[in-house]
Amino acid sequence: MTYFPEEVVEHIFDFVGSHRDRNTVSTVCKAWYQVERLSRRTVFVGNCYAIGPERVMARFPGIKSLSVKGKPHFADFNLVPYDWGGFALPWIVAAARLCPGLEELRLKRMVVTDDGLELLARSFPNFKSLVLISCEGFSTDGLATIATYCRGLRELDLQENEVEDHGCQWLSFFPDSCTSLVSLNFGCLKGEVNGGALERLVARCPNLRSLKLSPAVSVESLNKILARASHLVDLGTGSFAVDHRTDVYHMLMNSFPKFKSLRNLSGFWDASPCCLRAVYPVCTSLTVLNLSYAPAIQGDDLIKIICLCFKLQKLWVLDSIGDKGLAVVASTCKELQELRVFPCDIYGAGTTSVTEEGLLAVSSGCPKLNSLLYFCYQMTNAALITIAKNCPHFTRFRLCILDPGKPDPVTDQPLDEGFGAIVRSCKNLRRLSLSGRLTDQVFLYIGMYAERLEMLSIAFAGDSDKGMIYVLNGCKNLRKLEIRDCPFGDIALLKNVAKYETMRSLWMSSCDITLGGCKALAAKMPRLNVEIINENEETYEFEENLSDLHKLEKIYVYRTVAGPRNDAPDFVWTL
Amino acid sequence: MGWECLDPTVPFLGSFPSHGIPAAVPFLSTTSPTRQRKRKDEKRSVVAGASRAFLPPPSSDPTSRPGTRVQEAAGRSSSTFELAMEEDLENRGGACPQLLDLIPNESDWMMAPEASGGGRGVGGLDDSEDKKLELKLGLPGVGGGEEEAAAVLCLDFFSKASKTTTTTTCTGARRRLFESAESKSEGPQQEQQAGFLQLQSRAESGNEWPHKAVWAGGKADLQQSHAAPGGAAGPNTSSQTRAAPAPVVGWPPIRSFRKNLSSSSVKPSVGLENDNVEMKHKFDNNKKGLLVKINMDGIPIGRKVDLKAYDNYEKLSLAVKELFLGLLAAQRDTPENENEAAKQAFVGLLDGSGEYTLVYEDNEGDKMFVGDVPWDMFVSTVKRLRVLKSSDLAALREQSAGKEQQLKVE
Repeated sequence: MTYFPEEVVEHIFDFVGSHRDRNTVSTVCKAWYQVERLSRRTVFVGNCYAIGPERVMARFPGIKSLSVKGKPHFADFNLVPYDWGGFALPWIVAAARLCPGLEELRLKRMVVTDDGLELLARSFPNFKSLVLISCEGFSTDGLATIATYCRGLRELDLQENEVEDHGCQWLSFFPDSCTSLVSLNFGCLKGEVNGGALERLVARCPNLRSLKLSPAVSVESLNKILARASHLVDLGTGSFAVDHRTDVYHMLMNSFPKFKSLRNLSGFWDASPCCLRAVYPVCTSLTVLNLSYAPAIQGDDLIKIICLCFKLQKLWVLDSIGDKGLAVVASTCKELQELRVFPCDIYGAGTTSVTEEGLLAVSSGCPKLNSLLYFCYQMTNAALITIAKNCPHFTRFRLCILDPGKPDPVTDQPLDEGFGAIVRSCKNLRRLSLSGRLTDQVFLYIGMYAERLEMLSIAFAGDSDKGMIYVLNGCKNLRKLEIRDCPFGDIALLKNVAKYETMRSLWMSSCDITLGGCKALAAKMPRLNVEIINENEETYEFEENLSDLHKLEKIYVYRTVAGPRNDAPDFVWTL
Repeated sequence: MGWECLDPTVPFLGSFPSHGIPAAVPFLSTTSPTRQRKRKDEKRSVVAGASRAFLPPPSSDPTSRPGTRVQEAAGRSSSTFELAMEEDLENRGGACPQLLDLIPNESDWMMAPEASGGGRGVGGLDDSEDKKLELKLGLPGVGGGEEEAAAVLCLDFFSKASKTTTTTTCTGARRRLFESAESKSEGPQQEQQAGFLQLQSRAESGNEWPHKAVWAGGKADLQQSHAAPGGAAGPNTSSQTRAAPAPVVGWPPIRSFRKNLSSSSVKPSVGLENDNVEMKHKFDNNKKGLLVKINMDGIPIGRKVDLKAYDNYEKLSLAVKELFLGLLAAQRDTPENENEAAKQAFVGLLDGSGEYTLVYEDNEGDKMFVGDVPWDMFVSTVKRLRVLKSSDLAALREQSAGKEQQLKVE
């Protein structure tokens, strides 16, 4: 291959799409490395501290799309302190200097500031797409600068971010000349919305296909918007709070049948059951339905709508759907691939929820099911074994039994066998989250069978170091391991230290790791950052006085070529 | 943050043995030998069952080289595991496996044999052992006479204060939550006590939803005999409600915005013409429950109460007492039994005659005495509740009198 001219090699590489393949290709020889790096258009950085931004930009000057992830996953559940890190600014700065052709930036769990957004908006003339997921640190002012300076912006997708509300005028900052929007998602914004500006923006963007409104957008506004955006494929409805006896509601009823292209529906923050009827006409063509923000919709109403959705591929609901509702899903939604059932009322005053019966029904009725996130109050081994038989195609299986450490209620056994059956049967399993009462046994099974597993989340499980050791010794493709409240200690941590360099990261909190153990790990593996997150104010001042036996509350270990990070706050020590 | 529930008043730390790390133990074996030993001893007796024999008997010598132990276990069991699992999977069909008793005689798991139904559950559990544990994460005072148990388990999930003093104890404590706690009274009400692993027979429930075993507080199943504390609905007992599990940081693993979905009312805007900023008005069309926050003077941690569970002020007053009695007693440092003085504090909540008075904040932001308006009207306007010291009310009255005067003037 080295005898071919570079242009030919480059052309061949165009067909090599995935990051992994391109990474592999670049290691073949220097020539290929060069060709590959100059022709690379997309870079994905799974851990923003694994490598410095300048190095990435210098190596790949031609990138058009950059994705970076920051905080560890458990930050979603408030386990990572607020100012731990994950700052986006260095990446934006480096890209502004070295990759001005950047068109797309996707950031997840990072701290993005208004300054960063402004720099972004001003630095990239071809910028087209900004996707921020679970980020924080910015306000609507930052959004205003994006709106102002990003000519030709096609996508602004804000998912589940914490955005400070500095007023509703940011939408007005989209100039009249902005007609290029294809996707606009501001569902996570909490503040008021300038309805007029929104309506005008929608009206002048004929290519708009995806629009997700925040809860502050009223139904009146929605009506006006829908009148101008009949080509929408993806709609987040905003509040959807309307009295079904009003004209407004009737207008809504009349709008929906016009949406011939609508495939994806979400929102419904304040929807009451009666007004849900308005969407019945589009249900038969829906492929994605998200009703998980609508606690007022009870099981029976959910059933009425689901009965119509026979093309559904992805369903997110609250557990108010009940086992009964899930049985309806099973009999109606034969194309279902992804199901997420969220707990509606975790404070315990709820009435219905789901059990293993519901999941059993779905597993038997929906043969294409491959992705699951399921919150329930109980699960049995028998059910899991049957589910494993019914659905061998799971790639993501996340089961959360809300009472930690709860065994099989029928047999009082731990759920080792059930999860064991899952990993054994689902050969393509890439992501697994465990819950319920679990012993070391389940980890033995996981280590043995879960060959393709990339991400494993463990909480309140295991009996001894063996559990973690089984996983580290097996699971050849493991990339992320996150553990909380398990009896794994230094022995497990140090048993297979080389493994951590094959993984992106390890998170352990409320386990039995000591300072001494971490020191030993850091000493053996210089290319890992062993971060100790110590929120205990009393001890972090006396770092040098802490004995090696001091138990650590939270550690985060990740491979890096960038060395210890220089933006760590006081309470994070990198050994 | 979702699950911050800091309760430094809980005195359990005093009753917990300290897990001082032995000074001489090298760090390699600091999987806390004390704890390890206890855990191993208590948990791993395999009773009969050839098909489950793959689980190697644990070494009861915690000071043996950890490496060897793991190796031994691995070596011994790897081939039998497969076999055993195959067998087990096949056997799954019918019989309840009584073979593997992961809960040995010195059990820390509380089993209510009656509740577990005919023949189900783990065989061989001797429940007459005096180390039967109720593991409850209820607040002290929950479930009559089991303060200590509850207190013990009202863990350092919450308390940063406790963390500063005993980081090691805390992790130890946390571990112990799931295996053992101090041995607590068995008590006469076995089937009603909250077990960490309390199992309820499906047959008992007789309806679609099996009893939910509760992790904390056992409130759901205690409903029959105790007034409902916390978020659990009072009159709607039995299988369809479950106790509010004691909050653990970051559990359940859902995003914060989801935690408040069912009780929050989002503000929709009513559309106006063109550039006008849309007005907000709140309305709550949530039919399921009406959870409002309730704080009590002197108690740092608030609670939530579901107003739909009550239909008059008396029941609410009783519920408030149930919610805070334990906490108040704990603060007054009498965790042994329900302090009469603490109980007395809740007399006269509604009429201003007692030590504390119940007030609320309505949808207009005004603070009102609870009890003035008809119950239904109260429920539709209340936004949060407070239990104030009556002595502070005098000061408040003066303040509000001042305000009223101002308003009248205007």
